Amino acid sequence: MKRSKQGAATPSPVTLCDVKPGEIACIALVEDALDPVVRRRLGALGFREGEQVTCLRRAPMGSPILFRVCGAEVCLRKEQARSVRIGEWSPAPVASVS
Amino acid sequence: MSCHGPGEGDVATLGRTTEVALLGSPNTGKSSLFNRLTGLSAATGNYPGVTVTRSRGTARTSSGSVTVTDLPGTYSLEPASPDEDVVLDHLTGRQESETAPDALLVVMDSTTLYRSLALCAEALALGRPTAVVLTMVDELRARGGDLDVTGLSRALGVPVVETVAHRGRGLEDVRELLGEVASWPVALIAPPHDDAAQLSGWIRSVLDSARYRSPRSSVATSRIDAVLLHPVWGALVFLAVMFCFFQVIFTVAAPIQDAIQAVFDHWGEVAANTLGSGFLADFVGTALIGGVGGVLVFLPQILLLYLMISVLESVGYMSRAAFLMDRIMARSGLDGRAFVAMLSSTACAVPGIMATRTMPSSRDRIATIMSAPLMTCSARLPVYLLLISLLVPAEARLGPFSMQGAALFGMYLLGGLASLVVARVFKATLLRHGALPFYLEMPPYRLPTPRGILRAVWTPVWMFLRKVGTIILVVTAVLWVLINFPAREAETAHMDEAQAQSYVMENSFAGAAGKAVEPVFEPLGFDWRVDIGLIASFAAREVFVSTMGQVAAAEDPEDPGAALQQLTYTHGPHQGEPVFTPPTIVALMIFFAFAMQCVSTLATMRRETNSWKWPAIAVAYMFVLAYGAAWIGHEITAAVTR
Repeated sequence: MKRSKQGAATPSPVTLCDVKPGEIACIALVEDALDPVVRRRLGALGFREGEQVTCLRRAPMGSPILFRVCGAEVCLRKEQARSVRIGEWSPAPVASVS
Repeated sequence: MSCHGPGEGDVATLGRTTEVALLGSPNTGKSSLFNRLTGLSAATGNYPGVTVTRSRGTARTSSGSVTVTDLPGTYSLEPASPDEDVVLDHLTGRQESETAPDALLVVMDSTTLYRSLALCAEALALGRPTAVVLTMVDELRARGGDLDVTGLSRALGVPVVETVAHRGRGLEDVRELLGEVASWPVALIAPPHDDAAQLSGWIRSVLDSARYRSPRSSVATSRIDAVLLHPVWGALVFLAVMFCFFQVIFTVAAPIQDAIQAVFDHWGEVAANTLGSGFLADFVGTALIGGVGGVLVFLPQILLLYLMISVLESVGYMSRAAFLMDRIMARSGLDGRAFVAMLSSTACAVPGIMATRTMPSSRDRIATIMSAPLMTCSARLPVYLLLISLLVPAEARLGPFSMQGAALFGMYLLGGLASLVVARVFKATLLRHGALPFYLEMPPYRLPTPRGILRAVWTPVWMFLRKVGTIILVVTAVLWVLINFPAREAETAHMDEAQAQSYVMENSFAGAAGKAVEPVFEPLGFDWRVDIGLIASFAAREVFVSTMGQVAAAEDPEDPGAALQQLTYTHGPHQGEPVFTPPTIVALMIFFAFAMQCVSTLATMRRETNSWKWPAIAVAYMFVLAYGAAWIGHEITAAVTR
């Protein structure tokens, strides 16, 4: 996965909620403040530390958001996506991605 | 592969077959596998005290029969709710009513193996004889992935079988595997499922040994989703699908229903001709044949509904629709999947309530079950049509639209809004606790098999016929007795048939009951004859029409409009005035919109929530809502038309 330098003008996404369709991110942390049950459930779905997540699309009204993680496609609502912090990310490459 | 001593894993005891539990994530084809293994022997039931169901059946293997239990699909054995607690208790033998299964068969989708191995690790850690079935292997290879089954089996330490479950390939291998259940190994060293980093390491080493190559994402799925999930095109397709849904149920089902009704009417006549007149003839004709006909008339709608739902579900479209609908449903505290249940409830709440089984959160399920009956179901239609015809003249127009049609649409809207509001209220009050976070998996699009569809349709339809059908039959018979007894042969000897029927009804047990409750409904403008209709319609709403027809001594009980318009109050402050004035009609329509008048729905609620508490709450809150709203409607209409 490419690591990219963010210019000062573009703020880097901090959580999964900020990742745009087509972008790939690496999960740094699933928030501690989250209910442990919710955190385990997210983990069981594949949202674990160190996993690569691709944002595929967002629903017409912004929620839910469709991700590809661990080989499967899973949707989360905005609220859950916000509790997953990401580390490295790469923006959509110039060539279109299928 | 098997590395255990003699006697270990010796599970068959006298009088009890080995029980194998199927464990796996949702969307892995586990249920198809279960269905193919157990055929028609499968039965579904609830764990005591919760809404979770599990299915159990018998599979024939080379070495005798094996009991197979299909556990609910789960991504992890760590429980996130009381429902999931029960499943874990069952597996570990802590559940009182169930013995722990003797062996575990872990079903994994080979295209998402990376994720499924976490569940597999938890399963192996249970320390039970375990084996693995891999599904969707053809899809894995078609999408450029690959794996070595022998390597995987070596790495996991358990037997592994490849299948394409929904096409039946590899099924014989699974049967053979089940036949050898006595020799399934218990994992020597439990995989590290507690520590995240160690678990990742274990998963990676297993995948390396299996020489696993991840499949590419499904190109077909991405292309189709580009349209179906597109904000504009996706919404249009969704509306088109929903429109077709409705059209099929109302347009296609209707002629079939008429045909069924005609058949039963014919048999009713045959019975009348053969048995002559008298109670037996009437009982057979009205109660029995009419009752059975009343149940079977539901059949085309429910069949078609389930057919469409199961096609959409197995293709994978349902999760796309839930994705599009989720934001709207979230406002009432429900998730996108609830809309299937709500939509189905516009035909009949019975399949709608049954459709909530796909919802993982018990809290959401119950909220949906409680609010779905408020959606305008097809049984309310005859009542609405009758009452609208009394209220609104046929020629009245609202712009280009017929006023009557607009009124009907208004009732649908009323039901829809009410159900969303009520769901919200339930989520905020009685169902405050036990929330699961929302998540929705989008499986790749797959072609369904006819066999899978047929089974998905047959099971709920059969359940409907058996359970709900008996209740409708019994209640119809009981009501027949209440309405026709005590017989007044002496008094009615000189009256014509319609008048005689009306007289008997007025002086029957039901009539006495109607007169007794009259004070209760007086503020709504209902007189005791309408109350008889209400009592009768408790079994099924559409019975209201024919009951009112009989009460009003209408010549054609199926079309009592004219007779009803002439009914006047027999006593009280409004004596002599017509009963069916606009305020009364509006109150009656609103009452029917909100009241729980369907024993079949209650029976289904009882079955799906596994207790009488929730049906009781439903009856209570819906009565209060119906009465209150009907009264408001009555007062407003009276004020406006004065």
